[in-house]
Amino acid sequence: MTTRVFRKRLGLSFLATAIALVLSAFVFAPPLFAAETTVLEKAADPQLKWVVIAAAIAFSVGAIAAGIAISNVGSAAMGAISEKPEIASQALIFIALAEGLVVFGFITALMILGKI
Amino acid sequence: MSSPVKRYGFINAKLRARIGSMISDEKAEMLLRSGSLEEFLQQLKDTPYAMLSEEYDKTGDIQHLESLLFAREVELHKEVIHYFDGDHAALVMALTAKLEIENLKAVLRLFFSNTVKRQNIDFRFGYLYQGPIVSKIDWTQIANANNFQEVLSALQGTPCYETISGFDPESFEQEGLFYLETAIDTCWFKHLRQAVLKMPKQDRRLLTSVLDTDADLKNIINLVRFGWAYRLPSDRLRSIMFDGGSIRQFKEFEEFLKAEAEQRSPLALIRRRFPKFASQLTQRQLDSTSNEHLIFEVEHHLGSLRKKEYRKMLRGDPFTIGTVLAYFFLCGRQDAMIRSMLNGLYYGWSSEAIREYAL
Repeated sequence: MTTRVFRKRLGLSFLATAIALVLSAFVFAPPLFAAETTVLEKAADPQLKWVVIAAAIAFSVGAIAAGIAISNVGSAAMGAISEKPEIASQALIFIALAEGLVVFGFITALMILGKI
Repeated sequence: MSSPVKRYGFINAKLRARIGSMISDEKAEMLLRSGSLEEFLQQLKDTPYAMLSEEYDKTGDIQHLESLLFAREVELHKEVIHYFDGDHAALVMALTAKLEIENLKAVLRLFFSNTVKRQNIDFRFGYLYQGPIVSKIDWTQIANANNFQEVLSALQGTPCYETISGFDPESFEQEGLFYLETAIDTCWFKHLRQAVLKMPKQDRRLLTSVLDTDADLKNIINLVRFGWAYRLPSDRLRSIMFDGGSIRQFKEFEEFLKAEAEQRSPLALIRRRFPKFASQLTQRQLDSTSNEHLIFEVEHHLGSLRKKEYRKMLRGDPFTIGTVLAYFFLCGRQDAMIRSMLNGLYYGWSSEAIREYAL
């Protein structure tokens, strides 16, 4: 991999981390959600929509990223398995790793919603 | 199909898996130790070359096995072409054209035997690949042509038509096909370089570097073989040089061409481009070494350098054209190894000679 491509990918990783941190800030900001409120009060809270959007983004980005990753890893795995069927189990591990992304997104969304 | 990951993910994984299934060094060593052709073919049964063993059992014809090896290589290339589109497919086709020109050279030799030497070519033609490779060429028409015009009409529309049509057929009687064949080789290389220019930046950079190294290796081999050993005139020598590489820019290259044929020494050029190898040659004292042996040693050394380059490519970025290049190279090299072993055992070469040619 060239240095330029590596830098580009590193930059993207930092960007993704930064977005995740910003989203977490919405959720874990103590003054917003610390007080005990009723369901009706919560529904009337203008900040709530942002929390729900944050949860949706966390889940959907995870799902989309997993889809992209699985399409790439999966096609490579199919290519390799078609030539060497004995590596099928090893190839599945890599597909499962990509699948993990959607699980992270799902858990993050649950954590966000759990804070309401 | 835009990103390199999408473009190369499937095919490169497939080709890497195939490279992993190639004959290992240990297996090659076992094959080299075969005492007879039958034993060798028996050992091939658990390799990707098992079909050779089956075909030999049916026909007992070694030339048929060689033609099968060639057909197999053509099919491998064609298969890879199908996994690409656009400029990438064009590049792989340009790489595959190398096989087409090898076949063309073989058919032109038949035409030469038929028309100039008046030999019977029927049985030889049966061993040649007769299907289309890249361009639609009527191989039968070339082999059975009564004159050079008929050959040219069969080649109309192919990339090297212009080059071939520039030759005077009367020169074949005096000079044979050597200059025509080298012109076809250089023409192919030129077209390959043109196909490289249309590739994305990362692939283009890699391909240019590989082709530059290749041009240097081919030019050094040509200078040693035809300039130093066979003392070809300078203008003729210049005409068989490949485009690209660094050697042609060295002052030693011009000095080599300007020198009298008897005074030429390839050492200065080799020292400039491959200093380590040159010091080994000096130690062995060039003068006491026979021409053929030195040529063999230069080809062998440069061939192993090329092999290292391709191995290095396989360790690099997995999403480039490098894997395809390495696969073609390693396949071709392995086929050549099998071919040498087949011929060596069939024609009774010594085990040392088989080893030298095969590895």
